[in-house]
Amino acid sequence: MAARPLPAPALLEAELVVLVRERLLETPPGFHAESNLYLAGLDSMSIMQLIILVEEEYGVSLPDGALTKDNISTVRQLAQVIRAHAASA
Amino acid sequence: MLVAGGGSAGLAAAIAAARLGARTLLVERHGALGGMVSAALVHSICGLYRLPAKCESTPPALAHAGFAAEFSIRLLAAGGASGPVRMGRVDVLLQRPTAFAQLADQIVRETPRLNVRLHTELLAAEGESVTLLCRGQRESVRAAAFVDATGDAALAVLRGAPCEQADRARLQRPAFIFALAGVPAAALDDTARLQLAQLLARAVQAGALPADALGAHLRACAQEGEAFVTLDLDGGGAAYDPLDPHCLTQLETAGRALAGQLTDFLRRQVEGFAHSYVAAWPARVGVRESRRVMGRYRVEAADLERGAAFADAVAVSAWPMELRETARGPRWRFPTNGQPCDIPLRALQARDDAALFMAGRCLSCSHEAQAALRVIGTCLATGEAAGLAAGLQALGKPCDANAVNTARAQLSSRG
Repeated sequence: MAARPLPAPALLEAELVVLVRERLLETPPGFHAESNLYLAGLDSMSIMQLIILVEEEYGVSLPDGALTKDNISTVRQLAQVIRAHAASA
Repeated sequence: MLVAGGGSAGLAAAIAAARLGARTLLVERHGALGGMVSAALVHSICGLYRLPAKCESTPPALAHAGFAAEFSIRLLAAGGASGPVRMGRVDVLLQRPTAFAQLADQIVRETPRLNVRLHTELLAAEGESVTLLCRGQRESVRAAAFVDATGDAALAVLRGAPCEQADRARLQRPAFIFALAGVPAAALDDTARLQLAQLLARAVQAGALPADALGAHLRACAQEGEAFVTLDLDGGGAAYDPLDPHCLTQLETAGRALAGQLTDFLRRQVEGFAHSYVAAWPARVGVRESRRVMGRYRVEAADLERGAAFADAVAVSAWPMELRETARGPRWRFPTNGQPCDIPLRALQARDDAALFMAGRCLSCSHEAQAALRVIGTCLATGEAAGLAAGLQALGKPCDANAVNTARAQLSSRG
């Protein structure tokens, strides 16, 4: 799947909420950009999947060490990490 | 009475029935009791504790009275388990499969009226008669009541009891678990495992590891210096058939091949793993779902979601639905009110076969509900309940939920 340019911040968050809900985790009702991803089931296996999905969707390669336990606990934080690495690429 | 399958459900069933006073035979095809623990190296007991009300600091509370509580407390006391540990929104007990099997042997030795046949397969079953097979030698036994705790509903099929199974494409994926030794604890803490997840994803993207490596999950074990690696396998997608010997053969060899590739990668590329080595292969791939017996009641996803109560409750399920329909990580579905769901006696009774009870992962439930009910803590609880029910029936006593619950309370207070 061809990667596309990174959308505006609010749209990126909205897209990531949908991506997490539909392709990564069984999110609880009312899941939003500030919900805790670990409580929705994020674990090491789904983090690997997340790295692959982000690269597929946005062409953003998250280098080793880019993700820490505390910088991906919500979709909002994840969006910030993705934007930071898209900008530095 | 006869219990088929010596996994956690069958063990609990046989112990309960024998303690109740029924002469009991427990039949197991492997060389150790413990089922998926001993044979597939499942190293954590899920479903033992109630879901925490809040995620921060609530101490875990056992969900079950009776044998599940007894077994987990004795396993902890014997040094065979550690925890419970919180993982996301659930609490699990980490345990060593070798210690699980040893404790099972010990409890069997303590239990009068219980005989165990290891290395024994079921060959045929009709009415009160079952034909067993060990290395080409047949043995016929008779029983007044039966518990199918084979996981695959093998006894139910031989007796002609109707079973059901989800579409192959939706079946919970199998897991190939192996033990890795020579791994320092620091290589397995949360930070290191997150780092490792990123390394593995990168390696798959770069073609250094096959895509199947995305189903890998490492966890420290109750034994320092050892880790368990769980590889969720795709199993061929819609071609996956956990009851087909060709498919099972393919899973075993593919599991070992992938494990070898992954171990090589870890040794060469990942800090802390340079001296790691495969300490144990599983005796068999871990099957999460196959046949389910049609019972007098079918536990549904909606029951688990609302924490349903039943007048004929004999056990509870306190684990969320953990759907593993792909090999890329679980999808969790929690009860809306956080409450355990009752398991009615009718879900442990075959629909049209009054002598047949079932426990463990082949009890009467839907595909989604089985994703919650299949875990070991719940298997211990349904096993005990089915064993008590079948034992009461074999002894010619009333066999209803009230009698089962009374018997459990009496045995617990005696123990």
